[in-house]
Amino acid sequence: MAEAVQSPYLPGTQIQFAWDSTSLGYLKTCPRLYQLTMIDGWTPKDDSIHLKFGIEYHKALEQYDGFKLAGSTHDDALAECVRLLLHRIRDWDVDTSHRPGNYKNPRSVVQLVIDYLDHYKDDPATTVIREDGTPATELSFRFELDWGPKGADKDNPPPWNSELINQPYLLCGHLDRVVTFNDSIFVMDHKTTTAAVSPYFFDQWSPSNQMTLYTIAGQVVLNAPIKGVILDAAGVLIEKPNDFKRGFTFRTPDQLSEWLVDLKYWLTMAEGYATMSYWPMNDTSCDKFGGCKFRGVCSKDPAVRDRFLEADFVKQPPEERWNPLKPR
Amino acid sequence: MANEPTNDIDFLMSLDPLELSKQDIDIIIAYHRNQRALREKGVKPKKDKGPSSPLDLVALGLKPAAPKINRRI
Repeated sequence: MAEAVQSPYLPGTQIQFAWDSTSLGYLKTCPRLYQLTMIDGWTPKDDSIHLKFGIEYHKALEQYDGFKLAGSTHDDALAECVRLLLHRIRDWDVDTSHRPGNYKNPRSVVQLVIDYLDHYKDDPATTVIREDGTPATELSFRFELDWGPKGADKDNPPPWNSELINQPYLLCGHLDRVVTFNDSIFVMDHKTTTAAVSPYFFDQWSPSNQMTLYTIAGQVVLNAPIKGVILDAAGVLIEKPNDFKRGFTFRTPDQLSEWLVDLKYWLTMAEGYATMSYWPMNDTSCDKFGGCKFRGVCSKDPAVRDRFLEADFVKQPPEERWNPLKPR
Repeated sequence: MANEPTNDIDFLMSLDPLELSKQDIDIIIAYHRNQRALREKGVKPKKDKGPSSPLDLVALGLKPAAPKINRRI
């Protein structure tokens, strides 16, 4: 039986104390997007395809690293990780008549894993080995900030916070891989896109909430001078061979400090929204990144939005909703 | 309902992967490498529209060609 996962919210409130780059990204993009996704648990009906594809791709690369570390040859490690991948996706049924399923399906994830591992057979980036001898892949992190929500302040205790007095904010997440490249240490983050990887692809990661957090997390978790993130991009293509390119995004210590100062303002706002139970719409974000998934809902009259939500989205039960404290 | 396998690779991928032999896995990997090579040459993949020609295992170097039959007259 699966172990119950702690809620990222202070008990009896909608004040989130455990944050990851995904939930923080929603908040920064649009508080209403944050509400619909995090608080209310709405998810698009076809969202599971992207999630499953990403999970299986990441898992296969992680397993390959493990087999290589144990001394397997490239071909043996590849064969074993393909076998395990096929086992995991055996019952994965995808409708390939629509765009998401046409690009992301059992066949294409197997093709992508084989192409990627062949492409980086002699990878110049080597996985950092942790002190306990395990490879630094799929590294979960969770660390405390030195401050927390006002709702957990022992000097001004609201009635609900008896269990979590002085609960600090937590920053959580998962680093795909930490590598040494040209004598420097970087976090490596695997990204998939359904287009060829152009130089513009890499521009979007500086500034970037996710990559700045990952740089900080890498420094905290590994206590190492991590310079930034290598974006390990894979273009999942149908008519052309899959496309693999890497780009760098660096962060200076002052940039990291600035991000942490800004974070204080963002989380204070988040607590304010939660206390008022109202998350305003940022209508300048609706057209970003190819259009917000909720644009078709928010563009409707408030009185009929629920009907449109129910037509195209699924409301997940609380235990299945995105939770930064859920282990992978 | 899942479609019936239409060729060797569909058949192999429909089996329990934990029961597949090392050679079966090698065939699956060789198939995907061949697909990549075709795309690199500019050959567009065919859309799945029902039964297709079987995978040529001999061309992939994974199955010895059957010896030529000498007919007796």
